[in-house]
Amino acid sequence: MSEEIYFKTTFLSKKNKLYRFAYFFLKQEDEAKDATQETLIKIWDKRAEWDKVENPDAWSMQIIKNNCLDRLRKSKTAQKHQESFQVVHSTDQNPGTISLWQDQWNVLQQVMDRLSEKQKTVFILREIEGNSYQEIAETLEISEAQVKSDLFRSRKFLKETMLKINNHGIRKTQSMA
Amino acid sequence: MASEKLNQWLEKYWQGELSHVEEMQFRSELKINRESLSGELQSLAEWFEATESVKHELSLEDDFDAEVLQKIRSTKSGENKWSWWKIAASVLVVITLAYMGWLLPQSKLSDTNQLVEMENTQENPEKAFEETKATLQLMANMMNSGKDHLNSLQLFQVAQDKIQTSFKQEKKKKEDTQKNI
Repeated sequence: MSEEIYFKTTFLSKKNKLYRFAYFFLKQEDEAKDATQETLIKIWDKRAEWDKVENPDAWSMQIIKNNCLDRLRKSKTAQKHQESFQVVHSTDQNPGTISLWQDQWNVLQQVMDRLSEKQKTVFILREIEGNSYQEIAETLEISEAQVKSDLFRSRKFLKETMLKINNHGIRKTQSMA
Repeated sequence: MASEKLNQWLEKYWQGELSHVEEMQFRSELKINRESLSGELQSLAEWFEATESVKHELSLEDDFDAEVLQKIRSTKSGENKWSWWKIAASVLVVITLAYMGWLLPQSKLSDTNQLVEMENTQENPEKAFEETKATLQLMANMMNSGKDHLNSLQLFQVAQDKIQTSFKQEKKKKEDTQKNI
């Protein structure tokens, strides 16, 4: 298999997963797209190391995580860090779905803001990408027990945020009814 | 599925104690029974629905692949050019070494009179100047010869690019024809 075909099937095919991961760290779509492109080019430049990589998925996630952290450090130094998420709008035209999407987007943003960078990584990989504990542990090079502990903490925040929104009637779906 | 089982799973979910398979089942059950749920289970069903949607809403456009591939291909061709330079430089080194190690001693041996004169160049600056000039002229000729090699390599690169371009055009024509059919 040529290098380019291997690159396409193994790494480029995971572009959306890398992009979503970058988005939740950088909070802007353009910045996340740039980080994804830069990461894939870096992966290509490291093609001499491909045969030593046991888990390409975890390896590419580590590269984009480092890329995002570098970008965050630089943007914080330059005081250009985006404080809140650039809202992603639902492509669904149904008003009920749009409203539900906005409610849940609000929950997601509030939870993310309370998590540390490591907890956020665990949360994204589990809640959004549906990775197993083992896959997350390999990606982050931590133990499965640590993954569970971080997940417990982030779900605690998720539960609290959901309860807060339900109890205070912030939900747009309810206010519209 | 009984609501009791769903509530048990809910508790385990918050504790982070559901296995991967159990969690997939839990998500699936909440999706199926979404209309009949209330309270926390309903909130969680909506949450799961939203996290699924995030995958569709947060995705890159179709031209992203082409952009990345174009960039890595330009890196590849840049590396090829560099390797041609390395070959050209190696050829130059070999020619210089051959001259220094073989041609120069031969020319010295072939003219012993000249050799005698060479030994006394300090006493004859004009002769020394002539000798140096001749040596530098020879080096310049060798460098030009090396440059000619590089030109031929560049011609090869241009021909290769032309073939690739015509091949791509031919392929595109074929694809267009197939689409029209």
